[in-house]
Amino acid sequence: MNIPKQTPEIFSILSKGNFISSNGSRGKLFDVINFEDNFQILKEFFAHTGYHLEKGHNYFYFSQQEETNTIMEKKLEQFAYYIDVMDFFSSMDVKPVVGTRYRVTQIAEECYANERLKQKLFALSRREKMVDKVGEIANDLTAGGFFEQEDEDTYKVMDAIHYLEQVISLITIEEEDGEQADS
Amino acid sequence: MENRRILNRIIFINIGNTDYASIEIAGNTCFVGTNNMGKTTLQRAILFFYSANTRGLGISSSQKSFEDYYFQYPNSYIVYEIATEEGYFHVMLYRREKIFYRFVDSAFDQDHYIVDSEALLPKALLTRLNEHKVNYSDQIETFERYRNIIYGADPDKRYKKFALMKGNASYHNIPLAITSIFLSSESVIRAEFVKECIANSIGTKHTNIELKTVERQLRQFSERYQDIETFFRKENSTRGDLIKDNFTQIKNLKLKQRSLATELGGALKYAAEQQQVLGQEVARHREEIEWQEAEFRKQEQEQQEANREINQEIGAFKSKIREADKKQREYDERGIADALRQMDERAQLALEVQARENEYATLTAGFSDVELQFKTLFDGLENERREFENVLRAEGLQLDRKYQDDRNVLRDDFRREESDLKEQHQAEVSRLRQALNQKELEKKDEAFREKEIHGKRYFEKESAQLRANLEEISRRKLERSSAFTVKNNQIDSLKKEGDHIREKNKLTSEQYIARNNEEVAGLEEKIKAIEQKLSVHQHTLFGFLQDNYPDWYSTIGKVCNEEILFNRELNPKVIKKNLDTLYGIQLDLGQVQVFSKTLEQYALEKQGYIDRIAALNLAFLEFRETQAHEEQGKLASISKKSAHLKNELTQLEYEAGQDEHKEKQYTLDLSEWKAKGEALREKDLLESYQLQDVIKKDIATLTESLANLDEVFTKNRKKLEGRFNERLAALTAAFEQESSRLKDVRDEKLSAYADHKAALQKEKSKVLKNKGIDDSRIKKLKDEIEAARKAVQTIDKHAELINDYRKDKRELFDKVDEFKREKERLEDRVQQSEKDFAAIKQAFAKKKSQLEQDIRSLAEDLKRYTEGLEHFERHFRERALFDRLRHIIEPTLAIHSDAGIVGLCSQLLANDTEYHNQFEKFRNNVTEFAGRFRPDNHMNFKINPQAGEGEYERFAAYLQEFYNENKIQTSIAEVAKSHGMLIDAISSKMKALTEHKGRITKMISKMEADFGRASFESSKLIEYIKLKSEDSENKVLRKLQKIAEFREQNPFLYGEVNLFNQSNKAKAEIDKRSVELLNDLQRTISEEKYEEIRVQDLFELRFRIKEGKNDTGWIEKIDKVGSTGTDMLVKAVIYITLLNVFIKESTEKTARNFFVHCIIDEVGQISAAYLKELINFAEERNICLINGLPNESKLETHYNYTYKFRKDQHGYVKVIPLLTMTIEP
Repeated sequence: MNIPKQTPEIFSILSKGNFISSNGSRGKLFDVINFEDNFQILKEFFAHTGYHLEKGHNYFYFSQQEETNTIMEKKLEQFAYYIDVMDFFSSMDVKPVVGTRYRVTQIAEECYANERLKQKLFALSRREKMVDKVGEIANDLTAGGFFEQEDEDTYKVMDAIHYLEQVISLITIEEEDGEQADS
Repeated sequence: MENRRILNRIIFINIGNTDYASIEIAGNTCFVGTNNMGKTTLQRAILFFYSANTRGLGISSSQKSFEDYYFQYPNSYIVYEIATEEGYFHVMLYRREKIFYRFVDSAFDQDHYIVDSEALLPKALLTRLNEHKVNYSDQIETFERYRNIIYGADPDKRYKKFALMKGNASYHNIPLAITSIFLSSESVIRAEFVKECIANSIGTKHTNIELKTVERQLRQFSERYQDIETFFRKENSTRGDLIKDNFTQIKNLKLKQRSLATELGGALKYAAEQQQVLGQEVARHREEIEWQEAEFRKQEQEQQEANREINQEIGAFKSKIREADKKQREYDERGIADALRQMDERAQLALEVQARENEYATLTAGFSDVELQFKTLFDGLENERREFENVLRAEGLQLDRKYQDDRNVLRDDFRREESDLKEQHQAEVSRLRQALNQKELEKKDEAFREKEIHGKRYFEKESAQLRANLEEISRRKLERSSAFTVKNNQIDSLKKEGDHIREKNKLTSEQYIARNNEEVAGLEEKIKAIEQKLSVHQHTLFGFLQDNYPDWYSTIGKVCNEEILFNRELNPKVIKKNLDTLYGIQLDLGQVQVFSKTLEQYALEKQGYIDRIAALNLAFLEFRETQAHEEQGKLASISKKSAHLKNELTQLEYEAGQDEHKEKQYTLDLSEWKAKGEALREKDLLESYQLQDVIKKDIATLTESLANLDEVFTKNRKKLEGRFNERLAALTAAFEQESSRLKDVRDEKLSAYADHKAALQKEKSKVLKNKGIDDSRIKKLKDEIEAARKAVQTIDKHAELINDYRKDKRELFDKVDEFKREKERLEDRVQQSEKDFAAIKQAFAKKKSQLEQDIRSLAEDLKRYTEGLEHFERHFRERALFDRLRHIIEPTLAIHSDAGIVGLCSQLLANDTEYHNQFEKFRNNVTEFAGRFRPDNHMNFKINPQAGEGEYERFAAYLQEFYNENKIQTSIAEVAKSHGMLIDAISSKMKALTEHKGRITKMISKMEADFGRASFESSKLIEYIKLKSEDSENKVLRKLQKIAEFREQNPFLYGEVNLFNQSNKAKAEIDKRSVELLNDLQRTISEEKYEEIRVQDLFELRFRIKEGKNDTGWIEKIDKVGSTGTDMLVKAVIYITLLNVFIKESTEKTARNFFVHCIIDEVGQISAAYLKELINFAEERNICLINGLPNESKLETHYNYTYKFRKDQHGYVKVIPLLTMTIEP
């Protein structure tokens, strides 16, 4: 089995819970995984490490089949936060579509003008300055691999945002009377 | 008078803490003084003479700057006096804002500068110099110029005399080395420093490779390459296609929206107009119905009125008939028949009474004359008989007349009845015939209508419109088809044109490459030849002359060719110097051109060739770029045209699609209309057939009625004839019976008269016989009279009845038939009238129904238009969409629309929804597409999401244009050019840089040789100092070398116009490799953080010093060698060696009659013996040492000049010479 020479780099990124998106600075790694049979080869290869290489729409990530409840709980908490962040970004004039570029200052300006957005942002971050608040949540998404920072002020939406969207679309809210409604 | 050039003296006037000091330094000099007394200030001033660089003096940033510390007053001067073979000159430094120099062509004279113990200002000083006719130079304003003059490198001949030495282009090494020694005498000697010095001595700064520039160019290249790579990514090309499709759809949706909006605008206006028109039409139709109804009611009333009258008449007739019947029955009951008969007998009875009364009167009046009596009786009887006969005759005549009359009446009645019957029949027949004719006409009409229906084109207007539309579509189809062909042909010809351009350019490019290759090969040959010459020159006559015959160029150089000069077999030897003969022959070579070339000329020539190759390569790259640009320009124009045509084709295809859709729709509509038409035709035909059937049935019925009528007529006529004949027979029979009765009565009467006459005769005879009277006879007569009178009275009693009867008979009974006929006629009239009215009613109903249907249809239309307008008002006007389309909707002219307002509104809303859906997809695709590129990508795929929809459309249009004009090819060409240029530039720079390698090796060997002589043989302190060079460890250099090697290996295979061409695998591999190399280089430059690659980066230097038993091994930096003193000594030796080497390298070999100073401070640690050896070591190399000592010791005795620093009572530093110029042996 000829694994690509970038395998260690790929593993190092994915094993940290990050994504490799086609539209980011790691686009070349995406191309490597996507090249011919590499995905299958790497999937088999990584399977021995307990990680499952998964393919999304223009992004790759690792999943783990068995995880402790604590980790799962932590992840759920994280997701709850991401949902709020996504809600925040989705409430903006420019929606978080793949490839969208956000400037922190521009978001902050929009928050100044939009009270609802401002309140959402205040609920998400306790930083003092508006710009810092925006920066914090943008950095959180960057850390999650859903955004990528291009320069000091600019963040780009990665293909991995589809993962968040997909997970959010899978969530169902069970109502008290037992009926289910899609969220 | 010196026989050398040396900095003889330095004079401070108002410098620092010194008011005036003149220090002679034309030999090894020692400054003794405690700290802060000004030793270093003086040493720096000496260093400044050599370096003329205020920054390289070791003044820390916390200290005052050189200018501010040294030149505190406008009359502060530093004067350097230089001794030459011819005398002295001096350089004065003064400050006016900045430091200026002036060269003064005389020894320093204090009187020129100081008058009355006061230093003059520069202006006054110059005046004074003028006064004393001392020559001085112009003001030298830059340090560089000053250095050029001092180091003999200034081109201005006027300054030649002010040179300390005759330096070459790399004289900078000398001040650098002197500065370095001064600055780093106490610290570590790093190989870097030596390397730097070597580099400076051999190289020129222009050979350095500025990594910042390279990195910037590499980054630009790499970014552009990445942009193009991103462009070619599969996702992006798919996304690009999607954007294109989305954009087309959006444009089509917009077009459709415009067309729908226009249609809606037209439909709204049309509806508003129609609302009015249809309202009027409906009102008109309603009025028409009302009028029709009124007319009908009027006719109905008239008909009813007429019928009522007729019915009244009929009623009258009926009552008359009933009355006649009733009276007849009453008369019959009252025995009218007997009364009539008796009445008929009354006349006879009256006569009878008359006769019997006459008889009775006769009988009772006289008995006288029996003859007379009897005669009278006889006459009476005769008269009675005559009267009777007359009566009878009259009765017979009356009877006959009555018979005749009755017969005539009967006949008349018959004829009249027959005529009535005929008339009635004729009327009925005529009516029926008329009806039949009417029906026949109707039948014909229906047959004609059927024919018409068969031939009728239903929904002609709609179908015609649709057919016109279809024809229009078909016409457009035809036009489109030809346009398709034309445009495809145009595209093909454009493609061919493009191919032709490419082919032509390929050919031109190949020709150019061939030419270029040829020229480059020629140049390389020449370079090779020069290199070959230079590589062997040291072992040839040329090398020999270089070393041993400095001016050979102007003598031997004019008579020797290169073949002899570079011949290794000549073994030249100098037999006798300064002989200007050629094998004993003197030649005047003044006018002869120098034939041979110097090393520099060769180097220049070689450099010229290299430059030419570089120029050729650059020209080649530029040619390619220009060609690519031109080609791209032409191709872009072609692509633009082609894209325009393709766009038109797409538009045509879209139109074709739309037309096809419309055609289908129209065909379907046409079929629908046709089907509707056929259905209507069928319905109409069915109606017609039904009507025809009804008409036929009616005709049959009428024909049958006619036949029946004829039959009835014949029957009635026969019946009438029968009744007539019967009545006539009855009448004749009654007449005959009456005639017979009259005859019988006459016969009976005549016989009675005869009997009576006979009886009278008998009585006359008897009377005559008896003459007496017979009374029984009178009695009997009286009884008869009485009976007759009674009978008459009885008859007279019935006379009124009979009269009534006769009147009734005349008025009623005889007219019953007439009444009945009249009644029947009237009833027929009523029937006919009702029939006629029924037809009118039917026509009215039909007309009304038609009108109502029209109204319904109009009302439906009106309702549709009203609903449409209401729908528009309620569901469309308030929407933002309307505001957006208002400018289209409102100015449109009224036009009918099949789709209707509701349909159009729905279609517009659906279109808008579809548009928004499509636009969201479009926006997402654009965002994703643009997001894949760098924010400042050179292809300008940027999007400002805040800018709105227009921004996305602008982007898509730009992208389309980019694709259409194939702009990526321009980018590729540019990137290919920068790729080629980068590789070429790196390669040529590397070549230029590595050119120095030989000289480096040579210098290192020179240094090593010089080190060998510094072994301090007398003291044996240093066993050896060794130096070696190794290959460079610089990673950036290695990458650069790889690129240069790659360039060598692939001289013309890289830098193709298309770096992304995958068709030629070998070529693609080469391109890939070259790009990787460039990327590697960029990465390494970023990681290593070097600013430039210099000559010194080409190699690594290693020292090895053995001092006593200490062997440092091969080290990169000399940190500590033995004790402090030893260490200092070793370092001083190394520095002096370096300085010596650099001086040799940097000056003309022919003019080595100058000394320089080497300033090493704080040498107190070195033992006297070693110091002496060091001084000697330096002196052997024409170097004077200037050292500083903190305290007086015996060391100062080894110097030519020793000065002590002291401060006077004013705080001014005074420099006092300590010893005479006697040096200890």
